[in-house]
Amino acid sequence: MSALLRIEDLHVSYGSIAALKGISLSIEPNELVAIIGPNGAGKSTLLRTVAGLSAPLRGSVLLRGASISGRAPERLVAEGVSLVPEGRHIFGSLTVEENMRLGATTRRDGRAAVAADVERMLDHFPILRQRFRQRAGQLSGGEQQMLAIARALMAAPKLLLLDEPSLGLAPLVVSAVYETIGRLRKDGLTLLVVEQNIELALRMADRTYVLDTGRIAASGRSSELNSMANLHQAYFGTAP
Amino acid sequence: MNLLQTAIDAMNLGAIYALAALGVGLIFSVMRLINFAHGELIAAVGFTVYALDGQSVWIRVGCGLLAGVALALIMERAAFRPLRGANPATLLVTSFAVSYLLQHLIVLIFGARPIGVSLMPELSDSIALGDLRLPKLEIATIAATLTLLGALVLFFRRLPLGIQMRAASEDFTMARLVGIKANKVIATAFALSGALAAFLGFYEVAQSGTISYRMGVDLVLVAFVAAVVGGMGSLSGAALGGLLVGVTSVALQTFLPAPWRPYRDAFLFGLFIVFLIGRPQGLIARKAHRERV
Repeated sequence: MSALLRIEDLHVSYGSIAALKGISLSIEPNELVAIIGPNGAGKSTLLRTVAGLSAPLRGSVLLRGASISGRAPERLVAEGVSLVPEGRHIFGSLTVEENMRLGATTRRDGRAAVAADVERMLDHFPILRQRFRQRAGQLSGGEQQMLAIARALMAAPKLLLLDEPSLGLAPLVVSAVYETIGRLRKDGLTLLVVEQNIELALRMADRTYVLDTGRIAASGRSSELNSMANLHQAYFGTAP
Repeated sequence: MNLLQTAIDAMNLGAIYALAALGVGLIFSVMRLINFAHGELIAAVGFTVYALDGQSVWIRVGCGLLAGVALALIMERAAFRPLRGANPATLLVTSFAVSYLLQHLIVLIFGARPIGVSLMPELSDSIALGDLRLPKLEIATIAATLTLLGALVLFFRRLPLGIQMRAASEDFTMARLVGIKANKVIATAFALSGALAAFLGFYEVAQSGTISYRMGVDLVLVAFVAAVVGGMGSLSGAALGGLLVGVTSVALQTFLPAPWRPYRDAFLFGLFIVFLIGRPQGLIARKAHRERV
């Protein structure tokens, strides 16, 4: 097995509240894996822990076989794990250009390579070219989501973690975002996506994990999970 | 003519308060820490200048600057880094503890009584222009402040580290998620605030000719008010708030009826209380501060 990311028996708590109670999963290179589940299931906590923002109580997170549990987020970026958090968190008072260049903070392959990547991103996301010198805070929600993804890609990640990329966006913009995600995947990126929109998640992802109250309630190829019975079972614990 | 004189006095005090507010605001913007021990950085610089009495002015100023920066970095490493991510109240109380500790360390070594020190006495003259009297120290202060502010603007706009600091002050967690090193950004903020404190230390010594263990305390209180008036967490807000507090203070001193003048500070802070009731976010509002993790 040559999993890019492997998580074993992961437990994470906030104070006395257990958010994750023994999660195990793995992601192969170039897979697109979705995580779905009701609010409070621990989906964001899972991504935050992989990105280094929360420390596991128990269990391990392995990137290409090497443990990365408890490592600071700034180090993990350098090792190829980038998180686009829920709510996008672009730097609103900085320009689009500054936001994109900040994405390349950990890169050591020189100015020319970074400049070439900025160009590549602007080709990918033409709207950002028009807004290049504007403050990022002036962008629309969809544009900010594009910028957040472009910024994460500037780090040249191997594993991209996306937390609710469609949240709060108009349907048309959501399809644009997912078109981008599909293209990234074709380019060889590995993605772990938390998505509220079950239908969308199952359509996009190779495999899907269903999280419920900190445990994996169901998992499998998205096509297999795509029967209401299974999902109903996962969400409500009973077949309809 | 008198008005021009007042304007220059106002600029001078505004410049000092702006630098003080920036020193406090810088730390707050990246760490959500209100560092009351900033005043002791100023005092440490004053006492360094005093200890090197007899040396050339460049050595005294150079070592003073070094002392301010070094003490700020030590403070960060020893007192505040272990508390990174603690709630703001804990950080605030710690900064009081550091402040008292340093004050009493100074008392232990140098005593509690004010000590006369002379630094750059040539700046205490004035240049007479007609009936306008321009104290050289005020001119030098305004010029140095403008230079410092210009350098800071260049740093924050042009240099990668400056841009990283702006990003960190806006959203510290996200800054870490793009790979900005938390320690580097916070240490830089402390080093800069130490350098700003050094400048204030030189000014205090040159202006008053005395040093004491409490020499930075009042200035930091005003700086804190100025930073809040400017909009806590915004650097341009801090500079603007400092300028506003300084200018208002001099204006009150000049235009209040004579019997009221002893109560100038009551009017000054009263005005800003009214201002903050109307505009609690300060001059330059920032987005709601996000939880730091």
